[in-house]
Amino acid sequence: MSVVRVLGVGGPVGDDAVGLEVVRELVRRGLPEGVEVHEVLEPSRIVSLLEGADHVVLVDALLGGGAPGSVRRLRLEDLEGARPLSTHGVSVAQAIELASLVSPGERSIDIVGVSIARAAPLASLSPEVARAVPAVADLVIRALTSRGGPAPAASPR
Amino acid sequence: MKTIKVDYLARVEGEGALTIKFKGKEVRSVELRIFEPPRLFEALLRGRSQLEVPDITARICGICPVAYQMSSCLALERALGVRVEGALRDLRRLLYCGEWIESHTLHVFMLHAPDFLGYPDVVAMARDHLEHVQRGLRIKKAGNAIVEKLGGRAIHPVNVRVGGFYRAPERRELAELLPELEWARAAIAEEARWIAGFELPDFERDYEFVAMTHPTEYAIDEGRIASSRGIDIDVADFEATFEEYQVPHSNALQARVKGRGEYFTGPLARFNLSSERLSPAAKEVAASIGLRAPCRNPFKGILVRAVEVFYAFDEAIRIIEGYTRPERSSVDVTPRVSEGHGCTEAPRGLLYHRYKVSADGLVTEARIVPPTSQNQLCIEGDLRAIAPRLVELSHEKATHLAEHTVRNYDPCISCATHFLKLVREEVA
Repeated sequence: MSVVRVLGVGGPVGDDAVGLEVVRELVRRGLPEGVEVHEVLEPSRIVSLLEGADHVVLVDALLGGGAPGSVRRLRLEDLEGARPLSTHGVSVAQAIELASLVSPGERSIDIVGVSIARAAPLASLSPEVARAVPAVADLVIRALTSRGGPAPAASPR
Repeated sequence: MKTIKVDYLARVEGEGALTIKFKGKEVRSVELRIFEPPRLFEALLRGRSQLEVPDITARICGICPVAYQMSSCLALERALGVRVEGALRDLRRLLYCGEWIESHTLHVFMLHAPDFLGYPDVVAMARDHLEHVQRGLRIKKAGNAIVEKLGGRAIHPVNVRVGGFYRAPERRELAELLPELEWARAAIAEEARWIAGFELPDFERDYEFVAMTHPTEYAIDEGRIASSRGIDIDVADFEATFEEYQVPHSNALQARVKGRGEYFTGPLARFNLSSERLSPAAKEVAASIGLRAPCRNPFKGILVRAVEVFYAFDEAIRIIEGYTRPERSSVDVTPRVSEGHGCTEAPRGLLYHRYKVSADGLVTEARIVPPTSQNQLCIEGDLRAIAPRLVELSHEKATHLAEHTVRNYDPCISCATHFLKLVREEVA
């Protein structure tokens, strides 16, 4: 049985939290059977969450790369040069690289980026980014099923 | 194909999170930007039910959610005249140990060790020291296992509540953790010896160390607040003793001892004030790596964290071995108009909360003072003191040493591993 995980990465406030909000939306919709979801506020956790996984879809906020709320799939190379969000830990790119060193193995990683205008600490998502959450959830489901994984329990919409 | 470059440094809009300006050999200014969300939560908590507070505050910090939950629970319980004791209190201490392990291990292996060994980051260090990094990650995971067992996973309802827990685990569930905890306890003692071999800068200042103290325990979740210069107060007197004031150069609030000045909170402060209260085995580990109180070298924080991780495993094993599942998972809590203060030792130092609650159990006022803002003056003081060494170094080496100096405090700053902007002004 394939180990499939969705990781929503984010900070606690504002548009920084979009990765977490996407995971919450997926939980609300109901996930395909056997898919784990995790909210990740601390990127070094990604290292242990990649361990033993066959397929991982990771969702995070991006500064730059498009209008706020625009969504795209990224490769690891696209994250190179990105800095960690805080002195507490490592960046997403570093965590993925570290995982390949400490627990080498075959796994596929899809990275979904949601552009945000700035990481200002607002109370909740800005309107453009909030509007994008359902489409991001759709993209995550497509990324899960395009690998030949189980079909979603309900059609996305 | 279009290349997308992501630069999180843009989060601070072109400025460094730390900017040091030199004119010749003199430091003109040191400006440190602290992670602000704890303050924002003060406003977000107003009007919420006191029962929601642990869930909300758990989201403030990704690496220390338990610290925020515990300080907020204690403050609310004090307001509502409730005490959590016995097995429930032991479970809280166990949960806290799990967080200390996670947080300290992350810092020691992934952030601080690279500084001492001259690597730009943990990925570079892992290429040469793979086994140490793997062991560090496995030790961290053992702490995470405690936190998940007791605290609940992030996306499921959080298990901590005002008055105790939503569910107390069976003894068997905790006992399952023991084999890995025993492994990790032995592993961190070995890794401490590796760390003790690092070259440590020779640097000392005469700090006022502030930490919680307790008559019999190494204080984490209970006690008074004391200092190396004679402070000895109940938690309720925190705001009468420590004041926050607006810094001229930023929106940040900095803390100081009223009538005195900067103070130092965190592992080194705890060790200096309470090393006698460590378990016998933890004291042996400290002795074996040459760590002795009083210690005034902030670079030795890495040694203290390793000892505290060992102690946390000792405590965790002790609590699990003595545990019997309590009949009730929480104490009853009745809302009333009240105000309460709570303080616990987060991994980084004192974390103080105060709440005012209305008759129908809503928060009308919240005050949160995180450890990093309390250390801000000390960090800036260290940078000023180390400045003569910085001016002698290349820009790159000076930047690394300054970042290392800040990282001694394991601070919560909204920036990158490389967060320093060093600006040398031309002498007129």
